[in-house]
Amino acid sequence: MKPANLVKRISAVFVDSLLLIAISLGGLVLAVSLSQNPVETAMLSISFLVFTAIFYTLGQAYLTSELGGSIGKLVMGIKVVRGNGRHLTFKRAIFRVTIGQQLASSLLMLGYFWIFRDEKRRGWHDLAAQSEVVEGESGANLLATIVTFGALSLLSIIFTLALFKSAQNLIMQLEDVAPMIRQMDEGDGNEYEVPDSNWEEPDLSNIT
Amino acid sequence: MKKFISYTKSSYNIVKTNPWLCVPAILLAGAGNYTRETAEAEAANYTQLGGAERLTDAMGQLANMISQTSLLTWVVFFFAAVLFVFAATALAYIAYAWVSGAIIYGIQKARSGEKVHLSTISGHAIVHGRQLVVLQIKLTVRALVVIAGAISSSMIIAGIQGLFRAIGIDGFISFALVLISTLIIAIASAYFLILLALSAPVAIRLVVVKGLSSKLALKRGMSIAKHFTLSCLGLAAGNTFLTIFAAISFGVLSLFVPANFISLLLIGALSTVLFAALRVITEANWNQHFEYLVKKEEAHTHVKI
Repeated sequence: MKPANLVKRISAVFVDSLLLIAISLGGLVLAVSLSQNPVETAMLSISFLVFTAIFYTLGQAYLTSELGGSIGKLVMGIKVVRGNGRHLTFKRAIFRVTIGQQLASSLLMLGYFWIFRDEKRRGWHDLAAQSEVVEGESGANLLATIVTFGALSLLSIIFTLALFKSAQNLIMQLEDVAPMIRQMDEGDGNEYEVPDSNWEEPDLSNIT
Repeated sequence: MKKFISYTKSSYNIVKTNPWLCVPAILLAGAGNYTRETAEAEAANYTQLGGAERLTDAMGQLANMISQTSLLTWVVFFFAAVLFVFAATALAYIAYAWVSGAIIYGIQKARSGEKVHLSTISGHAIVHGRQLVVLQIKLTVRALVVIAGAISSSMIIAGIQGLFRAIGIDGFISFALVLISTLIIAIASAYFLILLALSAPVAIRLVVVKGLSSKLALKRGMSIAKHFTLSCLGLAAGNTFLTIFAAISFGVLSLFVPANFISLLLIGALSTVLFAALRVITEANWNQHFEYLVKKEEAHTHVKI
């Protein structure tokens, strides 16, 4: 098995990141468009980001165990395999995507730079999951490319539609919040008298 | 003391000759980067909010917005929160089990003169991962049960004291009863928690080195911790002292480093490596002591582990 080309690996990460950013932004746009006030926007945005992170991780692990790699890898025609050439199991793929990636990025990304040093081009996440990234077949490459661009096109249409609604919503929400911010900056608008420093308290003991 | 120094010297040599052992430990060593400065900055931001009136107004509007938030949003947020907590907890358990398993197995390999590589030690840790996670969960549950037991017992004692006062028994008898029962509960809870803490490193090694199931490992671990409490406590105290000493020394040294981005980045990386190495040294100390404890336990119980 021939280790995957480094340019292809970096391009695969780029494609995956692009997809993740697109999905996350889409989630945020959807959150703004669905919500009525800033609190709701914040709650929905956090929820969408949590769901995106979890399902993206599970999706990556599933694709790695079933097809041999994330969408980025499949597009670039490379795949993740074990030493015997077989695909990773789902559990091992999850381990690689979560703990393995975390390990590789722990010490100033040294675990990723290890790819340049290892003879089989393995990073710490590969070593931890006992996997390696190798050159794959072109069939999977073509299929993945079609699926990716199809998904991205669909997402972009949904996002554009949602964007109009969310922009409108955001302006309305900002109009709601503006008086609150102004009030916090200026106080409550009332003027209070400052006590005179020469003022003395009257003696009330003589009053009958 | 002599034994601890000899353990530490040997552990230091293991780390020096097998740097791969530090790699899994980096995962846990680099986790706690929440500094005092961050906390102070957050506190400062919070206090800059302004007067109480403005805050009350803002809180009022916030409460209004929260009340306007739809039920569906709350449901989605609740599910997201539950999912996040569940995923984070599961990952933390798996990561801890993997790190422990990989380091312990790697140290055993290194001590027997074999070459250690991340790939081989990780594979072994993954194989024992399930048992190690189950063991960690059992240890956590037991600790929580002891703490919950202590809290509920204290509440019962407070109730009994209230009852005594209500029926007119006050003074020395009530005071003595509360004092004695509180002391008994405190000592018993502390003893169980210490036993659990001491049995954990032994039980993990019984799974990784001896290949026992989590259930049997916990049983044997508790038995070893009970029979050789002082011996285990001595090693745990030595390891803690070593860690605190290193943390203080590193903290003092880092005061002399100029406060710019590159220096802070390098200091962060250096502290991660240092504490990863320290973690391997303390685990290697336990590995050496584990063999001694197993021999002693076998002689004590006449049962082969």
